[in-house]
Amino acid sequence: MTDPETILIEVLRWHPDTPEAPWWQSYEVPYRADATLLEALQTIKDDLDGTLTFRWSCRMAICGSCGCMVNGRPELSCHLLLRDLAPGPVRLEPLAHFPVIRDLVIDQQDFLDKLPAVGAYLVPAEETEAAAAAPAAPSRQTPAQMADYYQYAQCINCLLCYSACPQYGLKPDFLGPAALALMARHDADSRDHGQAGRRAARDADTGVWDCTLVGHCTEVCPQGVDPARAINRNKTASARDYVFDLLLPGRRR
Amino acid sequence: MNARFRRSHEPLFWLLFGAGGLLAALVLPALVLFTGVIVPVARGPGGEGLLDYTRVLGLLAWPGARVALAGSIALLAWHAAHRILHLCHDLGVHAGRGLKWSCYGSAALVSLLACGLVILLPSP
Repeated sequence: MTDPETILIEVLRWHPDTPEAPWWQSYEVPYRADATLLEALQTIKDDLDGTLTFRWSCRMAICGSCGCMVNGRPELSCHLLLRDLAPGPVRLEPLAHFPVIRDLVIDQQDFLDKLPAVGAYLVPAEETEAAAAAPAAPSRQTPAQMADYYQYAQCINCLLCYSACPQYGLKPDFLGPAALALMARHDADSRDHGQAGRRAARDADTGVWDCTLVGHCTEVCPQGVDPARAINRNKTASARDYVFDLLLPGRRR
Repeated sequence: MNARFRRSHEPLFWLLFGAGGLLAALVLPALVLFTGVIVPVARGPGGEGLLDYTRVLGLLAWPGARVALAGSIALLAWHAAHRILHLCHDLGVHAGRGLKWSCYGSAALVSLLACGLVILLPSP
């Protein structure tokens, strides 16, 4: 097969200062077998149409900035090679379920608000006087202890899982796949002492219980995180606490 | 961070759903195999009338079998109710509390009927 000269890329565009409804715009972009979709967008911006707006930074699937819908599926544009999309056309839209700021740029504020709500940070043990007086010791971990959370710690906050999640689309209050996977990540860390503080978010309707185990989040994750597993393991833990809190007086929050 | 989160009662229904699902996965294939294949095939001596009413009723001579029968029917009903409710949600039908009440209400009704049935069935 001979390589095509160009590849057709169609972008759903929108500009907040224009009264126009979102419109599809087509670009014939020079084709290179070793170019990524992000590079094609950069070619458009540099040579064809400087008004096209999109986020990007690292070009190597580690910053999580360049997510968009590619032919209806959430993807990182730097993670796709043009040769896998040829002959096209390739249809690009902003990530589903998020407010659009302009063109392919979405507003991540909802997710940023949810990160502190799930306690996505390590909580140190209560400081005793003796501990405070002693020099700070390193928190050592065995490889097995690290393996407990390592997979979930690979999240790059790219939000592809939120675009993939039909429940988040139906109920924006749902804490969502990445935030709940990060909750599991910190709960599973041997250095963390914040599990109790994360329970209310976990046990709420908007916590693990809004998930119906569709599992598309896990399929689209570019980092191999398994949010569906993280959430459904926490369903078991939440159900166990529900039963014990119901049966054992004094345990109930 | 706790004020915005109200505890869900979903675990109750999820546990019943899980128990019913496990039961369905374990028991239903065995029942299909027995009633659908083995019994019709077993036409040899002693094979006739395997599922006659009086004979099956004999299974209920032990009270534990009655509890298991009612429990199985009830759990399968709760499983079905939960599935239907969430299927409606996934399909975009959000009928709210009414649908929830009718799904889980039906399961509760089936459970009551199953309990009544095993109490009222005559002893063999």
